[in-house]
Amino acid sequence: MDRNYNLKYNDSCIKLFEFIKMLYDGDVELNAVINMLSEGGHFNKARTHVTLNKYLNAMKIFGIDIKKVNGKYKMLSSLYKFDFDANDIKSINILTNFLDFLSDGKHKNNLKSFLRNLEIRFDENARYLMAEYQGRSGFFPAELLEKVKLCAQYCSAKRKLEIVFESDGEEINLLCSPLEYFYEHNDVYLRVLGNNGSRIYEIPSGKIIRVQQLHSTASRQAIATTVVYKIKNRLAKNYNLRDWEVLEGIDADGCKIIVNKNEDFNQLLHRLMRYGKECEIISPKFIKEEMINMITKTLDNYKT
Amino acid sequence: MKEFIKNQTVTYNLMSFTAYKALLFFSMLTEGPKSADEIINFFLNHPYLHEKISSDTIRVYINSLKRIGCEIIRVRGEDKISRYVIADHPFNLKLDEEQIKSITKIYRLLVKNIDVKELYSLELFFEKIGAYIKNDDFVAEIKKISMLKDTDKSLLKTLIECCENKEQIVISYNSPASGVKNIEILADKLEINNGKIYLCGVGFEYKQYAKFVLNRIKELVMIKAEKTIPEIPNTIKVQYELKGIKPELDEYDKVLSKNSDVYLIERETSNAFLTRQKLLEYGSNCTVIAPKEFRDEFVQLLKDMKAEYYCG
Repeated sequence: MDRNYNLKYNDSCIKLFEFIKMLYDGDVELNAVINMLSEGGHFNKARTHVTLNKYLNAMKIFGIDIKKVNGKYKMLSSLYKFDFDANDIKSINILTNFLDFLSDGKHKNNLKSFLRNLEIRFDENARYLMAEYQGRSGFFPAELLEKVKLCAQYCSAKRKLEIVFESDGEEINLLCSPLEYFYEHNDVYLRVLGNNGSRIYEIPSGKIIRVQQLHSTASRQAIATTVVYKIKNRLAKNYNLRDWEVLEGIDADGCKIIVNKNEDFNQLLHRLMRYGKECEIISPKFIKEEMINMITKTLDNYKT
Repeated sequence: MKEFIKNQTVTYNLMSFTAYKALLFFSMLTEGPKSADEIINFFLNHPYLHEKISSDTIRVYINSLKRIGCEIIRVRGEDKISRYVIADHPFNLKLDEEQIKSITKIYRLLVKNIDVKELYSLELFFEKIGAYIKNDDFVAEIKKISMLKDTDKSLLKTLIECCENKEQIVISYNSPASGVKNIEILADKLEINNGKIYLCGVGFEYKQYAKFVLNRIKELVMIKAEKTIPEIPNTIKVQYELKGIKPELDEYDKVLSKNSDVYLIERETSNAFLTRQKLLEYGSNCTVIAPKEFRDEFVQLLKDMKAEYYCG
């Protein structure tokens, strides 16, 4: 120890907190902690195991829960706790339930790690509230989890698919490359790229009749077609742009000219139908014609 | 450890007293400012330690905590006594740029799948996390994508309660057509649609079910003590047929019959505009059956839509 009291510190204290830092960063190998404790010659290596046990006991008595799993020390509860209330635990549960519906990858892993870091900071009350939620049904439909697994498998295999699905009462046979899947409006959607690379399809899993995985490798190179439309009158004042829409301009009549990229054409057409006379597709020509066809087919329902 | 569990006593053989004291120091100083006397008394009265520590020992522990990265500051209260407190420490929850990106992306996906009450809970939760992690970027990123970024949260909380209690309320509303005016409604629910939050309810003026954009509500003027708006306003019953598509029913729709993939549905509504929008979205899968007046208007609208493409 330093003779100057203003600079004097306790090496055991430093080592203990170093160990805790290691535990916060992830599971700790026995060897790693022994090496850390032996560094600097402050500890007799032969006695390091005894010291470690004494540290572990001090931490347990203090209230830090540490378990040894497969030769690694794992921190189950933190040095300090967050003050989470019922509202926070509800939010944590929504996020935890949503994990099952996310595509594998860095975003899912980052959320998992965030939730783990929160969980180790739970106090007794938070643990109790969390346990209560575990007995309840989740926030999202569990019966869709099988579909999530299937979609995940199609996406991870990175092979082209031949999908037969139902759209507006018709069976569509589509050669495509799977891109990703997502959960929205109580269904799981498989997002695929059409074989020519210019059209994105978002197929509700409930509409898929059959899927065949082909041997050829999936393509991810999209040359997406953009759709331009005009939003008119009162709707123009209130229209909220989606993430995939860009406002190209406002014409002399106050109409908004919107450019849409990557929205499933079928879903887009149905959505724009909803706007009635207050929306008009400008380009491309084939989408404009599909819209006219949809209106004509709807009108045909009223022919006597 | 077994002995401790049985007798609740600690010995030097059982645990490291230095480690235990260090943890207690950390805990005490993160809870709030503590003076030297308060620290000394704490250790003296501690059930396992009963130890009188010196000012030098306090200084050594404080130096050690500083050395591991704790930011310890001295504050002087109204009583003029100097106290130590840990303002920051290396065990704080941290989120790096990548993690913030992931959480905001997932949040963006999530908001499409939750109701307004859950959205409100999540916003409060993220605000709390933002304060814990002391990272302004996180709060800013969440705010950037938040549907509640321009929303008065206390107003939202009150409106959630009003909807739960089906209260008759007066709101000050900035209507795009007629400017700011007071509107009296029987609050029913808050819903998220196409990235916007709407307050839904029966309007007093037109006695019809209507939706009001939340961000256009300036304030809640009054919660009426008595309900004078009829809960079921002047409604019409619209019958429509859906073919080859699964209906998306809400509480106003009733399936009258189902034959193979053909559904006959009756929708009781006081707002023909909202119903028309819903039925238009079904496209050619939907045929309006009755009433005749609504059906005729619907067909005329389709004809006008088609005409816009040829004459517009």
